[in-house]
Amino acid sequence: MKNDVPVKFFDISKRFGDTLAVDSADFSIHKGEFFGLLGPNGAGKTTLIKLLIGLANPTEGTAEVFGYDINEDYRQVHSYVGFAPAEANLDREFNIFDNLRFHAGYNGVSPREQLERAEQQLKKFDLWEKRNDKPYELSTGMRKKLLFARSMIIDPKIVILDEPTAGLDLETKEAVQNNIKKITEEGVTILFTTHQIDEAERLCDRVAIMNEGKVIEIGPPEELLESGQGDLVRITLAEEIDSLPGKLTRDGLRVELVSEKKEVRATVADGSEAAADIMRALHGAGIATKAVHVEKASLEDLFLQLTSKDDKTVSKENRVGGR
Amino acid sequence: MFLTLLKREVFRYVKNPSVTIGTPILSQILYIIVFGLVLGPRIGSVANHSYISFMLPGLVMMALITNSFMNPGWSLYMARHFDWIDPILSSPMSSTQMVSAYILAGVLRGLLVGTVLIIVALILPGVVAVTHLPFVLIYLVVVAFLGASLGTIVGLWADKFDHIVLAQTFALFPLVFLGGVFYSLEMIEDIYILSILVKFNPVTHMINGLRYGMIGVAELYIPFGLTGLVLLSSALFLVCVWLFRRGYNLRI
Ligand SMILES: Nc1ncnc2c1ncn2[C@@H]1O[C@H](COP(=O)(O)OP(=O)(O)OP(=O)(O)O)[C@@H](O)[C@H]1O
Ligand SMILES: [Mg+2]
Repeated sequence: MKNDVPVKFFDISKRFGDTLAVDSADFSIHKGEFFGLLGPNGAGKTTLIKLLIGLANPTEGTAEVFGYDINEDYRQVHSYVGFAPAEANLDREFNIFDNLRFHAGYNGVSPREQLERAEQQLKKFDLWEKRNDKPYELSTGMRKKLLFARSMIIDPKIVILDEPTAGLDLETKEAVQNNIKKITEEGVTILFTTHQIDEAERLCDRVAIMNEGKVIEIGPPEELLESGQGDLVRITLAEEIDSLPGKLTRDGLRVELVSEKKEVRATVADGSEAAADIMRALHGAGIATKAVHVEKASLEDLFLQLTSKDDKTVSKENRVGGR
Repeated sequence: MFLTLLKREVFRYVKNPSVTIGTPILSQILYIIVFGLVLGPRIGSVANHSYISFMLPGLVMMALITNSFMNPGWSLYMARHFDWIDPILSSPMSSTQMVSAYILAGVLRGLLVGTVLIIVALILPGVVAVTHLPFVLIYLVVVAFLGASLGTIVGLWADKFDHIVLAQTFALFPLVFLGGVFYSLEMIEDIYILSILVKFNPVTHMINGLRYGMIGVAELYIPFGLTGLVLLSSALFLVCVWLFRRGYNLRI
């Protein structure tokens, strides 16, 4: 290792035709950190990961893993990183035991150890009975576990998990989360992506929120919430309205209309003050209200605020994750 | 690393011998029966050898080049199609190691089929199969290497299943069939265009060389052909490594 920084992006960008999938990402992940990458579909999370592990060529910029350049020193970089993709890319010509031992072998594990480690991982993830099955004979959840097991078999210093808990039942999800947590206790750095914001809030030391290729916020979940916008104001309207009064959208407040357009929400620093302001604006525009709530904002509220489109209207379908 | 990938690429056909080894051998044996044993006597002798002895090196070459081509071709195409190449690309293996594993596995598959066919030839009565052993070996290896390198390039290029079949039907088969598997150069002397084209066809030189090794007859100058083939296969290998390094159809 050249230095102690597991991942450092240097203004890295990736363009696909007209789409800037990753737009000058420039941040580091610290040693032993549990780092979450959040963002709506198409934000560029997977692309950013692919740039790091040799599956995508950057259009501009570069990145380093423990001081090694992802292009020039790709062999060192790859030896440190275990990766579990969001979609199964398992070898369909071989059973899952062979999948694991070959993977260990590609990464320089000795032949004898390959067998031992494959067995150990399959047992750890309750897949030992399935060892002779082909990957496509497993259920979605089992495949997720297998991908995770495969990423761990090379004893990585950094583990990258793309949506490791998507599609898992509650019990499996908790088991996987606990496994991930255990890994961090061994000093391994974790980079993971998720659409479940409560998960990120609970597990991550720091998160980065991506939208349209850009990293728009980065920091510990608590700090992001405190950084000015810690309260959530919810005002239930007497009836649906089509759009927010002009005054509200002008004021620089981040206000949006949700729940079939019968609720106004804002994530703000001071809830009671903002609530009064918004009420005044609504009443001024002749809109009747039914109830007012001020509560502590969650990361999800902040996330929705940050990634919502210009019209400030977020329909239920477009909301990411949910609880 | 390299060894594991090589092992994987070899296991994929070894565990399925009826398809990967049995099929090509059966088809070549059918050629031997139909062309060699049935039609052969009517054609008479070619270059002082029975027609079947003359034709056999061509059949071996045909099986050798298609089989060494198929392995990396299909394997790489599928690995890309189903993305299971990704963990290989994210491993600490170098491009040269990856390419070598894909090519070598193809070479071994070609050699396996080729060797079995030569053994079959040795058993057949009245067939001359090995005159200059070193030449037989050299040509088997060089040609398998060429076929596997071509297969690697096609496996990277193919965007769909049909592309590999396309490459086989429109490039490989014409070259092989027009490379003098079934006829001597003397027989096509009158077809002027063909006789010129055939001399520029690398497959003609492959068959010519193997024929020299097997029955001791060469219609073209061996050192020239062999040098050309070695240069060509080295060039193709370098192209493969370059494509892998660039991530052609591998990285987004
Ligand atoms: N191979 C590709 N070719 C062209 N465009 C691509 C390719 N891969 C991704 N993109 C584009 O890059 C952008 C970012 O995609 P990416 O997969 O990184 O998003 P994501 O944040 O992982 O989304 P999700 O949460 O849905 O997984 C999208 O606009 C996508 O269409
Ligand atoms: Mg993704």
